[in-house]
Amino acid sequence: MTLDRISWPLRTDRLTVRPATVEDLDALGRIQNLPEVVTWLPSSAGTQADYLLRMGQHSLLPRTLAVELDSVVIGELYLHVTSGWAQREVADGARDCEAEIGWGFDPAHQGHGYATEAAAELVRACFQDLGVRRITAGAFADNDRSVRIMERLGMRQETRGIRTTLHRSGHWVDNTVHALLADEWRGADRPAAGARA
Amino acid sequence: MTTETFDRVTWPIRTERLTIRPATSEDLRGIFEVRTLPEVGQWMPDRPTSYPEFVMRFGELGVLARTLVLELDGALIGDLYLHVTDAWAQADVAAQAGQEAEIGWCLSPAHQGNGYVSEAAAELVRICFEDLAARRVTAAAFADNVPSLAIMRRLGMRQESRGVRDSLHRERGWIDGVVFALLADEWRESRA
Repeated sequence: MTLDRISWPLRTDRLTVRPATVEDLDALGRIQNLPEVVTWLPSSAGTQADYLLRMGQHSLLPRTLAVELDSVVIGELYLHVTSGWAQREVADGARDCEAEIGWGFDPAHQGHGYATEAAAELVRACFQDLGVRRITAGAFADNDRSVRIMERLGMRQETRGIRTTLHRSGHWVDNTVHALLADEWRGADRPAAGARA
Repeated sequence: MTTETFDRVTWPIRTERLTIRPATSEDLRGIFEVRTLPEVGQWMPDRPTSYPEFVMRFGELGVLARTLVLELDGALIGDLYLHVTDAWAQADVAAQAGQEAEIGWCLSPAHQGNGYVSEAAAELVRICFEDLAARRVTAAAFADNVPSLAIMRRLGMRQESRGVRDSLHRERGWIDGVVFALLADEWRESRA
């Protein structure tokens, strides 16, 4: 699935969003390995090399977008286009019609709405430029900050898995999945183009 | 590994009225005949139009090793699905996470209304928790598949997910999907 249908970079009032490159990996790896960030990630904290191995193992670079504030990388967005669930005979109708999104920001820049601002623009690009019909985002249920962003994006909680996931703290914790359909997004009251400079 | 999964259980398993055992290639004709009945096929992930296509699909997906046969008085009346996977965990604790199981079922309409699936699926849940030591069991369905959802509830499963128009059905279009789940400690508590 190509992301070429999006005209990069995306710009919001304060931020620039573009596909991450190898040059961004120092900054993004540093952010991912911060304790406040890695506590909510599937991965372990580790060295920069561990981070790069993981990016390679799961082919994550093509799904990673760098978010810049005044030309400084302050976080990332995740974008993975997938097919919807479909019975086999109609699978063509579900091909590449969904996007899973996510985000991770430097705690030094939290509290200013940057993640929400960048993610709202990503949601717009998914629906308008990529033409997906559904967007999902998953998180540990205790990750309040992230769940609040989903809610601000207009996403609905569809899943609350009870004690589904083993956290490195040793506790089995709940997970959530939020979703938003294209027609819901189109019908929603949004500040008109406020995030599009 | 799924073949090893079934090796960890002593077959056949008998319930009050039914026998449950791993499916073999000899059972595929009978399974095909049940699954291609319209009442059954409407909810299945695929609808093969011929027996060879059906068998090849089994091979492609490797699902024979996840399929159990349901027998009543020696006759095949349906099948059960059992797929064991690793539980979700952060990478550094993955080795301690253990496993969970996805289950499913399919019964010939001629035998519906007698509680056979509930009887067999209850035993399947027991197999998952006691014999396979799974910590969580899940089952997924189209939300409109009312009989299947009723079975999940009878098994004591909780609804964890309702995906709004997330599943593309060949006749009904985009409709809702559900996931139900049950944890081992919930199951033990309910039997105490």
